[in-house]
Amino acid sequence: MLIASYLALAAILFVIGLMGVLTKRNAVIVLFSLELMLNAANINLVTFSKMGLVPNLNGQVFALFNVVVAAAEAAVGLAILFAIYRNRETIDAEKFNLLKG
Amino acid sequence: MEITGEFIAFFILSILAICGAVFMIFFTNVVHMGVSMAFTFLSIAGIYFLLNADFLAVIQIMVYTGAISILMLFGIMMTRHKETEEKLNRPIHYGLSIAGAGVLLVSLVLLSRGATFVSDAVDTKGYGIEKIGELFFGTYMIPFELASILLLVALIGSIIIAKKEGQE
Amino acid sequence: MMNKVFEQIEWSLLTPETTIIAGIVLLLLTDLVLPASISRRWFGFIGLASILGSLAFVVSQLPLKPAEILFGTYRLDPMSLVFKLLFLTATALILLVAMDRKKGDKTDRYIAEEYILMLSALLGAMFLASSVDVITLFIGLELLSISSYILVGMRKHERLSTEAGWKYVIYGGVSSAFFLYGYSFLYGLSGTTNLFTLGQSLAEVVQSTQSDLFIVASLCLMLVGFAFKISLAPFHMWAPDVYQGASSPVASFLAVVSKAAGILFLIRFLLIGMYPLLRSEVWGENIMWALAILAAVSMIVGNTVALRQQNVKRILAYSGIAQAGYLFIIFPSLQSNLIFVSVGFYLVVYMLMTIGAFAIVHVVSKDTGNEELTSFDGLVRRSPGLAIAMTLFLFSLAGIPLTAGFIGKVNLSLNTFASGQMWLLISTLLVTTVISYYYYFRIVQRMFVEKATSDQKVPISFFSALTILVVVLGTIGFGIMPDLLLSKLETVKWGYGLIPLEGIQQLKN
Repeated sequence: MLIASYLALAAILFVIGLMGVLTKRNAVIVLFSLELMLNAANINLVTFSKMGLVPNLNGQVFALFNVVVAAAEAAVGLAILFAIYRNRETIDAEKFNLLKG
Repeated sequence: MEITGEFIAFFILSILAICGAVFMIFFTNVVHMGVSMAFTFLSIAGIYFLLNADFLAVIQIMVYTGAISILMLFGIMMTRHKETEEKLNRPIHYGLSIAGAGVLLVSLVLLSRGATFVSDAVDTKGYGIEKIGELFFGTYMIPFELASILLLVALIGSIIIAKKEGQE
Repeated sequence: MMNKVFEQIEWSLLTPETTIIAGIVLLLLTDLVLPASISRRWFGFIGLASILGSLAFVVSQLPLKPAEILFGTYRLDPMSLVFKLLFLTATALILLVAMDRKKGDKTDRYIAEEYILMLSALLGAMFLASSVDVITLFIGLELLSISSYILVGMRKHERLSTEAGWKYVIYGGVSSAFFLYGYSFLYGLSGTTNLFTLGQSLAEVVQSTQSDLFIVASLCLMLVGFAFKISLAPFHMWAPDVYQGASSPVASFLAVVSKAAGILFLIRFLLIGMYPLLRSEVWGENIMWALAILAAVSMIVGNTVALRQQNVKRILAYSGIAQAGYLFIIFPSLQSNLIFVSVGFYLVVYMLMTIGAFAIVHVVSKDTGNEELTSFDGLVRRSPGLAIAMTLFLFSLAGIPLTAGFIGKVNLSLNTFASGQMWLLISTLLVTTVISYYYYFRIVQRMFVEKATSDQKVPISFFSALTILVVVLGTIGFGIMPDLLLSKLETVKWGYGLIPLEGIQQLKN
């Protein structure tokens, strides 16, 4: 199996995640897309940990750390989202526009 | 390219992962989006199995497919939302985002195709959970401890922000 | 076998960090045990005590013996020491300002958590300062970031605060994703997370394989991530929104500690991990151009967009973007060792004036209820001391002679000038500085010319006043006698932060 296919898969997922963050209106889906971007980075790390120039386990360990970070980020993001929802009864990311100038 | 079991498995899993992600972009029903993302995360776990990252694959299923997907679905259910999602009302932003993402996609995929420098045959016998544990509690002990504080902080933060006021 | 590993480690190196952790635990437990009816306003002293304790431990590590734990996942060297001192001092000052609260403030319920989060953010920054391993650097940065997300969003009754928190989470997460995705390629080429090993393997890889494209791609992706964290244009759009939504002490924390941490991360990454590339001609020039463009765009965007802002915090945010740009003019000329002295001096000065300006915004907005320019109307007639201090900070930010900001800017430009042909950057700095006078003077004009809306003194707590006094003294003192600080910074052996431990021992012999 070629390493290029794994890298291409990660690249596609990364870009789709970025698309989601930029264009989605439902804020929960925006958070989801963010997780997808972090996952794409993890696929890369794990791929290189098997097929890189210097294959070793460090990549997998780094990926595990990223899972921790991503989970923490998702929890905090969702909590803030609930606070916003209590304030103004919407989670439409397009309406989060009080701050501008 | 010869067709091996790994190739077939990779083909199916990556199709599933990409379809899940693409459907997330194009579905209009928000719950469907969430479920299709869960499928993507599950397929990524399969990819990890292919790459001899068994422990990570299990973690992926537990954390992403399990915890995070459910958390997000709860997030969708507990907030009032439009059943169907409309497009952004900002055409310039939308167009620029698609164009930028397209350019990034093409360049990254072209880049991946150039990855010919790597060694394909690796001894992955040592890639077990024991080795991972040794790394965690040996070399990476300090970031590991730091990660525990990070989780504590995230816990405290989520509670104080999401907690409903007015009840003790 | 495991026990041996534990015994060989000098855990005493970690005392400054452990003190902060002890402070966090103490705050948590005290908050839990204390009945809800008792005021928690004095909790700031616990935080302050742990910071001062940590500061004492850092100082007690002098004279410094560079050391490493576990392959550089923790490392003590002159560079990390200086940055730790900076982070600790800044957080102590900010904590003093944060203790100045309105009576019956709704956020008082979560006062313990607020201080805990400030300490944990500080802890992340401190670990980031003392590491040359990408995993520790990254986890430290994330601890800093996640604590900051919560700090920004925790005033949950205010729509602006939660929205700012949301934007910060998303932009911060995207920047982390870019950084990780970019780093994954370097991991593929080197198979390591240690920056020194990374540098060595990149040196070999560049000569032997066709991997240039990968390095370019990962560098670009990572620079996007770094630029987000340091809020360099064109990746700055989150900063004004987040600063506006956050409380003023938190905003100054983001402006000072987060930014300095990001800059330190970038310095270590470029000068250790990317060192072989920087030395080669083709690479060196490309990377330098990328950094030069970031610096120039930041200076231009920061200073011009600030012109049409009405909110003082937004103005300070754009000013911070421009200041980061000023700081970055020196990066393209990475050869000389002088850059660290200039960067260090500028960071200290930037810390002083930013904390001072935000402290005054905090005090004033606490009284008027908003941070619009109009709330500064006629401040000189209400509290002349505050108005004069604010003028001083704004002059220093603008870089008017006799203030520390002026010395810092001159120092940066001279050292850039001495080391290269980046005259274009220096002229951008001069032109944008002149532009920036307009918006700084606009605030000054508001304070001195406009009519006051009330004639009462702005109430100010002892601790805010103390902070402002300290910061004023620093801003004037380093403006008139910069040698006090410069001579100290010149004796620091910055280079030790960029070479492996064995290298340091060889140098000493």
